[in-house]
Amino acid sequence: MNARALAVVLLLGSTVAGAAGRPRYGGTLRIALASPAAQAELLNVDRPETAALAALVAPPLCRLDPQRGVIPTTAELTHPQPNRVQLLVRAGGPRRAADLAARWNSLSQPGAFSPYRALLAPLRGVTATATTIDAALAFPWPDLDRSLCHPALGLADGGPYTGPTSRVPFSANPTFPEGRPFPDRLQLTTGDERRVARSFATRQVDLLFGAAPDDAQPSPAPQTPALFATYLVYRSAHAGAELRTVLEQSVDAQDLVQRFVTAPAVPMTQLLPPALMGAAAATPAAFSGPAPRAPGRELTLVYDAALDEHRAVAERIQVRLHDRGYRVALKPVPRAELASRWASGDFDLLLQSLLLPPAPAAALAVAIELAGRHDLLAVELTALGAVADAAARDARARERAAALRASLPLLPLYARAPQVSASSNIQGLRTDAFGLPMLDQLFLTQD
Amino acid sequence: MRLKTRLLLSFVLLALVPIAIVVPTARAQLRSTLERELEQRMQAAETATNADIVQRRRDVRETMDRLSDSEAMERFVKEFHANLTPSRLSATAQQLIRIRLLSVLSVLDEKGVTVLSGHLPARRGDPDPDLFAVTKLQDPEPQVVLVEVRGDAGLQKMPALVTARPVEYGALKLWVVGGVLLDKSVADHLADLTGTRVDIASAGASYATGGKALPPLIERAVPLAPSSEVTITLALSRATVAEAERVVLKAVLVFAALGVFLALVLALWQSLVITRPVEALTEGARRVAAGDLGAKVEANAQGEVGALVETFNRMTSDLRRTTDNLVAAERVAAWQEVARRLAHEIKNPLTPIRMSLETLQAASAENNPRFPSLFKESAAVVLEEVDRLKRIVDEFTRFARLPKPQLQDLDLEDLVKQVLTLYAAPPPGITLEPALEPGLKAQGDRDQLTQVLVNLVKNAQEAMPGGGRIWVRARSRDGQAVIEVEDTGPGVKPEDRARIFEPYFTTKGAGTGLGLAIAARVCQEHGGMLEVDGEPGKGAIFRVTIPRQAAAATAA
Amino acid sequence: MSRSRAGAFAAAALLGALLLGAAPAPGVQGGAVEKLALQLAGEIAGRTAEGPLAVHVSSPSPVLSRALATLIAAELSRRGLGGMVVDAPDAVLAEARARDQGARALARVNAGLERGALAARGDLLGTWVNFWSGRSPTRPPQPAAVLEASAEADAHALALLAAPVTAPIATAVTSSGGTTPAPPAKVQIASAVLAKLPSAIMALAAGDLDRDGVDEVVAVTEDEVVVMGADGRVLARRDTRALPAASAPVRDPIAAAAVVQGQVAYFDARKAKGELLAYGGGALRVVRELEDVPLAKGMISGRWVPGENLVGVEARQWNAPGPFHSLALFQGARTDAVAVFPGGTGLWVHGFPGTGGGEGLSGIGAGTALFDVDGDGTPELATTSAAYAPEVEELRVYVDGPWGAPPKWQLAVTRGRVMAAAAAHLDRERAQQLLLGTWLPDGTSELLVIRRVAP
Repeated sequence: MNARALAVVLLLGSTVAGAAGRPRYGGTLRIALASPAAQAELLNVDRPETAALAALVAPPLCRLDPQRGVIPTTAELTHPQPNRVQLLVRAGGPRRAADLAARWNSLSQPGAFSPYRALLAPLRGVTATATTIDAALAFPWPDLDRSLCHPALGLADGGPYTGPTSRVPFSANPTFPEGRPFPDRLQLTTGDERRVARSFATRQVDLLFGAAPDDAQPSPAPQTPALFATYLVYRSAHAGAELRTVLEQSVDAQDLVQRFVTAPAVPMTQLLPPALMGAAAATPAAFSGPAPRAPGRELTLVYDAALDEHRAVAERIQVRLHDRGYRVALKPVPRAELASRWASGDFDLLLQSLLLPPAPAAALAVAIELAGRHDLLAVELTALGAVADAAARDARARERAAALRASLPLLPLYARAPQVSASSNIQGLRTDAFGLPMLDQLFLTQD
Repeated sequence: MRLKTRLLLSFVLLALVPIAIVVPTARAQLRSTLERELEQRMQAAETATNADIVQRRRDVRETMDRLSDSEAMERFVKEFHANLTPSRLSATAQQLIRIRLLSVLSVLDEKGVTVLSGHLPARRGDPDPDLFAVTKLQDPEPQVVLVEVRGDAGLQKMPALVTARPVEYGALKLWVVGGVLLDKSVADHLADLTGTRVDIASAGASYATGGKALPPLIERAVPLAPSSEVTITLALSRATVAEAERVVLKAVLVFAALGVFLALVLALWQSLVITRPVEALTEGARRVAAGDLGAKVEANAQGEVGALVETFNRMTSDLRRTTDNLVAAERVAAWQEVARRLAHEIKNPLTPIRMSLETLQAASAENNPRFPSLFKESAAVVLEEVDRLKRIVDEFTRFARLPKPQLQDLDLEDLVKQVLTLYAAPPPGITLEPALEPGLKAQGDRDQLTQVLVNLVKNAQEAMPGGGRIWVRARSRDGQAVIEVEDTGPGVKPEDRARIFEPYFTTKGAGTGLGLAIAARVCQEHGGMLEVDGEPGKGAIFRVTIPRQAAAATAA
Repeated sequence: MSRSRAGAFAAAALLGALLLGAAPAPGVQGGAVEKLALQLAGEIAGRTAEGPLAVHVSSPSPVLSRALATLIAAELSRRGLGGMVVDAPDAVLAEARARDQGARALARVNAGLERGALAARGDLLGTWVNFWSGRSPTRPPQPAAVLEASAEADAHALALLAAPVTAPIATAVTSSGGTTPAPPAKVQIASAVLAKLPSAIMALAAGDLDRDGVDEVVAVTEDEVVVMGADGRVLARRDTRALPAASAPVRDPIAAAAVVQGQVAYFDARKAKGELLAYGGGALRVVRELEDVPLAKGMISGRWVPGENLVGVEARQWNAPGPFHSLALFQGARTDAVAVFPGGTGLWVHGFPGTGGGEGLSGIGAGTALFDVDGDGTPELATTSAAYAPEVEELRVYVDGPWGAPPKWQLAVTRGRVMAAAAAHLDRERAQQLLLGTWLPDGTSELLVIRRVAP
């Protein structure tokens, strides 16, 4: 606390307890994350609970405010010419733009798990100096501004908080272009659901991620956009054309969400989550495919070993497919192996979640990339990018999503938003257009 | 068979025979005992298994009774009634499972739909006809049911002992079905308990296996329930019996080997003690037979064998002495004989000399007119007889003063060829056939050996006045050079063979009878010998044997 | 929340004239009153199909009542329902008069200011009397409805409601010698939007820049410095986006501004230096850069704490208990100042700068200023909600006294969070007005003016 004690301060039962009209600087922000995973998983952008934390240390290039639009935080995008873009990077080390370009480049490598490289698909000829990145646009892509705010495309360091990714506290970064965050330090603890819920209930932590607070009431439905979509990716070459039919008939997303996904989730009937599909989400697509032949296939379902949620979903899929005559072996693997398997196509069934951008066209690009259909990308994105009006483009993207639902080797399951609970001494917590809580905006009110 | 071998064999047999008798009987006895014991073990295993299963049933029944009455269950039903989130419900189920040590726990609603499942959480919301059937049975005893559980390769059915209890809360009626899986842990437990290999299986499939047993096996099947297909099969390995037998046999064989080894050692030792002196004696006797009359046997021996050795040695020394005496006497006898012969030879010419001279005397005394012709006649006779005398003396001198041979390296082939050149033109009817080993060398006096050979060939020729064949062979044998002269003459009679080498023994009309004696003497001086061989009537073979290397001449 | 009570004051005419030229109310053509009238007329027309219809409006301000009634009647006539205005002191009599006048239905509406909106509530009843019912004032079954409408109050409506000062409050009425303070006339306050700016207002100041006797309003926003007239018209702007940034960026947009000797002094905490600007000829010209933060109308200066939203002052200038967010000054008979400290606490210094002590305050927010609401020469403290993002932002005005008494006036601010406040003389009255800068969720801000109105 940097305020010295006032000489005469009489707290005579003021009408509003404690808080100031302006945010207060100082204090230690204590966050608890329900995750048994090791520290390396903390910067996992694909998971709702950790994506916001990742953004604190490895900041995205800009913030997408639901009302105010794109706010440049660590980088600013300009269009010097109609089909050229320039990105001025303000945070990070001396060679920040070159490092960023290298990071983008590594996303585009064939061996990386990076469906997010679809967001960079329109860029060509990316060159970097120490602080700026220049690129040409292969085709007009108006959603580029919003897409670049995706956490996966951000910097590796220079975030609002700095520090080694271990349990020692992270310190506020005074050189962050938007200004240092209000709390001085960030302390992160992890543990299993019950333990962190208990520590939140006993006010040992200020923010709780990934668990419902320890009371008997069910968690409320998320009001933030649920953009963390979980898909079941399959390889039609391995599994046969009738597998899609069987999956459609046996895997019920509503059932999954109600019974097996403990965190608040919404079922996905269309290729994109309901938050992106709008009204079109209500009408589930009718699916007709080849009728399944005599069963007896053996398949392997690969999923992230560290995620309890995926385990429950995988088990349910195993059971449902078993009822249809498919023997499914479950194979939990570490995240790195999951990524390499996806990249090399070494799987029958694979359960993966990722964060979709809030623009339907960009989200469609990411979904196509996840399905492995790079060939479709150029065609679809060029067509979508040509539509200049945002509302028309969104509508067109929704149409294409509905049309592609049956043909991409992806089964959409459910979408989630981060499960965040804040104690009463947290102020200023808002969510951005990705559904992530903007943790660098909040401040503490208690002494 | 040698004594040593016989000794060895007898000792070994002594060691082996008792073993050979004892082992098979022991083995048979052992086998029957072990088989009996195996049978008893299997019986015990079956009893233990049955008891364990009964205990498990009881545990399941009691646990389920307690569970259905417990507070936790009540709380759960209330929570369910209040439509709580699935996460809380399944956490409760996990807790119930953990606390109660059940491995199967499902809660079904009235229609048989799984409300939640502890063993297969992903079944929530689906009907479970197998477990629902248990609820219909109205039997508090646990039943054997095939339950779907999650395995590594997918879902599989496992047998389990489950029973159902109803739970009610107001209008809400639920069934809680729980029990224990008969899976690998049970199989392992039973395997540890009974020491057998436990197989939980039914007609089509094997569910769990615990323990190990190597074939050959003895098996017993224990059915879990009268109506159930699932059985527990216990298997004991007969291999232990075989193993035990093998162990015993191995031990026995080890001891046998040890015994044999000891027997061998003993035998060897005894042989040293016994057979070596015996062999030495044998060798000594052989040496004596070969001519070394003074052979002594040196052997350490005790007892009878030692006495034998002493006796032998004494005998050989006597033999030697006697032989020496005999040889000396013979020698004397030989000289006596030679002197007698010589005297006889000399006497012969003396008679004509005397008569001639007496005639002359008489003639002279009478003043015989025929004195000059008589003188001439008589002078001729006297001179002839003196020549004869001279010849006899010369030969004798030569015999007596035979010089020591000057030994040098000789090429015998060359030597024989030279001798044969003298007979390049043999008398008609006589063929000479040489067979000479090339490169045959020996140590010898050239002149003397030449003389020997000449003598032999001449004898052969003279023995076949009518013609015949003469072979001359030279070869090496055993480090000695052998020269043979064979003819096809009448041969030498056996009674003469010993005497033909004596001086003045002759079967020819002419000759002095010294030729062969000289030849034999020469051979002796060379360290070799001269032998005669051949079948009478078929011809004679004279064999000269001389050492190829210089050797000390044996005393003649 | 104010009750719908207000009086009618004479100076309303002047104010009305000024405000009628002010920036138009947001959105629709026509002001609040017109919108209200249209709404009501629509509702009425929806409930009945037959004219003639009588309209009776009552409100704290007869001017407003008549205006509203006229508009409603006109709209009804336009719709072919034959509107007429009924004048009556109260609603009950209005019914009798309407019946007398032969109207088939009467709409009785009470209009007033409710939480920043001009609201009208009332009922619609039939007044046609059946011949056979004789003289009994029975009511026909149709129409009978409740009417309710509201429209965002704009300055015009406020002006119509405004209470001009009839007499000074503390006037001594000499009767038999000595002065007896007259009972203070009741004062209410109301707010109206003076201007809308495209970015968040960080600081407000008011002062007479052009020596016309009326203050101009200076607003320092995230992108620019704007000078506006008392009516809200933009007079000059200076774009500050290109100025060099401070070495330690500040996340919370905060600035300090003051009018010092006819010039504008300001310092944006996110920039490296402040500026002194002179206004003239419709433009702002940089006089010089400022190294220190101008506070208390230039009386003292301080330094921004690097990276934070606090300004620190050296002890020799003012012995403050610590760094603070803002400092509001009132220069009257005595110089008072109120500093807002972190944690919702504050310090009311009587006799600034003094020795450093003062009265401790609690529960005060970012929009804090001292202004003389009632024109009695002593300042009242206006402060906003101390909560960071309250559901309803509210303005509380306290009279000077021991802290802990409830506020004398309270007003809800309908939209946004109030982050800046300043006192201003926007007219030639003794009483001051209060300027509030509010931040809206879409990143724009509104400049509100708070003035007193008749109860």
